[in-house]
Amino acid sequence: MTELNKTTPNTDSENPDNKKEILLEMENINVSFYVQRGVIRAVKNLSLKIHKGETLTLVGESGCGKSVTAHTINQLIPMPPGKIESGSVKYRGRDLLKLKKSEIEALRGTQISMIFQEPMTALNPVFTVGEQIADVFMSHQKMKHKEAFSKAIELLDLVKIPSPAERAKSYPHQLSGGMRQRAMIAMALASPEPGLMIADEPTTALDVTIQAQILDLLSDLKKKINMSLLLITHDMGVVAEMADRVVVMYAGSKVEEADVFQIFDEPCHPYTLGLLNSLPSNPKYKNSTRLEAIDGTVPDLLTLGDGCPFENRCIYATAICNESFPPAFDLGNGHTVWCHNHTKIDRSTNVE
Amino acid sequence: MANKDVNVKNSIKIETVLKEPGPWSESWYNLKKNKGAMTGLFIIVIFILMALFAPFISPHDPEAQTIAMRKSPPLTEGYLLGTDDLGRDMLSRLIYGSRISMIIGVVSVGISLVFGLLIGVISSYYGGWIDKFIMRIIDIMLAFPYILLTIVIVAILGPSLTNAMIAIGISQIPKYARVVRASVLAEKESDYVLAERSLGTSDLELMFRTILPNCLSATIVQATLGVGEAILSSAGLSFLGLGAQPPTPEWGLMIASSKEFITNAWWIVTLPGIAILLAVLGFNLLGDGIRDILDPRMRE
Repeated sequence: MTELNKTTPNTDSENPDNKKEILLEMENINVSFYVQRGVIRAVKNLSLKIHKGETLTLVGESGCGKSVTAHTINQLIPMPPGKIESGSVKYRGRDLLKLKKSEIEALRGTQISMIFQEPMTALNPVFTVGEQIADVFMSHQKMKHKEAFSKAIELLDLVKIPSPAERAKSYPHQLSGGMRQRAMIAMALASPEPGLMIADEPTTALDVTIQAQILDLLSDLKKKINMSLLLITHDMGVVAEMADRVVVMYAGSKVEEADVFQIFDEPCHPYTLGLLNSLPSNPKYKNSTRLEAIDGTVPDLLTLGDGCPFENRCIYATAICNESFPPAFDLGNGHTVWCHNHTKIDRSTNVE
Repeated sequence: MANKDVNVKNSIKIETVLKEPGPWSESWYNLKKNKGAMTGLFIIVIFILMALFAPFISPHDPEAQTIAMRKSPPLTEGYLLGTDDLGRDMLSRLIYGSRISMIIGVVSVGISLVFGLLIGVISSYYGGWIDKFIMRIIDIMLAFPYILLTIVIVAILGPSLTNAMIAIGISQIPKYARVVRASVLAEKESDYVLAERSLGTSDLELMFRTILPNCLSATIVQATLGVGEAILSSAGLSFLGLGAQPPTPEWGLMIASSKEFITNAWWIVTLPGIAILLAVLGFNLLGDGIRDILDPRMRE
């Protein structure tokens, strides 16, 4: 799974078809959290586009705003303390931020669904798995219990849970981590036309072999029902495996956006480069035992200045980096980077 | 061949061992091991049976007076537990009394449970000023001594058995609201609540279908203990003349109306007291036992 080389290039990502229907478009999203110590600007001026049938991955370390971005889409941000300050989230042309609460509720679970990082805690412990999936059918499609339950068994079969009819009667604590994550995915699929699935670090809590199975399952399902996937991860291996396009985030801002090959072949942001350099499978570690990490830590979002947020950890930083946030540099082919010094990047240590 | 048979037998055995117990049978198994809880349950079942079959098992009409036989001591022929100052059969009165006490327990706990759950869940789910407002009212209710609050409510509603039940129910609401609020506060931040919200579950469903079932264990314990407490309180109210009115065979009332005979006919006042004691003890034992089996930390 951590195999970085894509031997058979994905045709989808090689010829990014720009005429493809845009499913979701986020524009200039700003999300802040008002806490006692001040205002945390968790997401700053973020714009995203997800085309139909595409997998977009959001990459970045903990606390850089990945989950907040995802939660903005189906409005799961706790308000207060959170607040979506500005921007728009257009799904099939409708601005989700202007919808009524009931309309959002109808959209969640029918068109936009979500799977979570911790399958151990993301299922309700007092109901059986089948019951929970059936519940989604009953509340959104007004199905009778019996019909919904048999649908739930079908879904458990679809996500490749062995003997689904029996497992449907199991409580979450009776299932293993991988099975629970499959059950979560089944729950997210319990809708007539799943359009967008948001997967918030779906494999982080699982061990490596199960990770591979879950990722395979997700890409299988994606093909089968032609849905789009917003995949949040901090694992570059997962990115290589799954992504069509990649958005790298740092401290709430987008720092680089490109398709998956460009990210691995010609990363243009020092942070992206740092992420790639810290991969254990990077060939430069063939003869050494020590991994290279990005020095320093993520800056406190409360005290962040106007400059580039990566400036304090960046080996390429110059005076201008401290003064102003870099503008977008368009490198062609949909590759954009937000770095003043992107031309100076040394890629000699790059992953093959 | 013989080997094969053994294998088959073994595999069958393994199958049966692997069959997982349902949540109910597991709880029942744990409860059975708890001697105190079983004693409590035994007492309660006896009282419930007495209450259900009162007309069939009581030897006399509980309100029929046989003046000639008044103040007969226990073991008098035809009157196993003797008679009271008006010649009414003590045993029959105690049996009918259990009916009243069980009803009082269930109804008043039902009242406080329903309102306590509603208030607790809504208050902690929405939080903010709704929570603050509701909790301040609860604080005010808690500021009054419990029995005083009950007496005040009965005094307003007028003394009767029904009003006593209502009063006990209302004055116990804060307890349940507090317990439920605390556990909902802990549960509502869980991932599965967020996960269900992401599937488009409405607030109402989240509150009562998703979160509430996860908060019930503390409430079940509270309710079981509450039944005993309610029986005790209603006996107290009846003793003060604010609950059941004569000639109802209510245990507290029986004590009140016969307290002057304690020196010459002890059984008239003592037996209802013992009945109250047993009923309350039963519910307390069961409640403690349920707490033990529902709280994994208390398990061995």
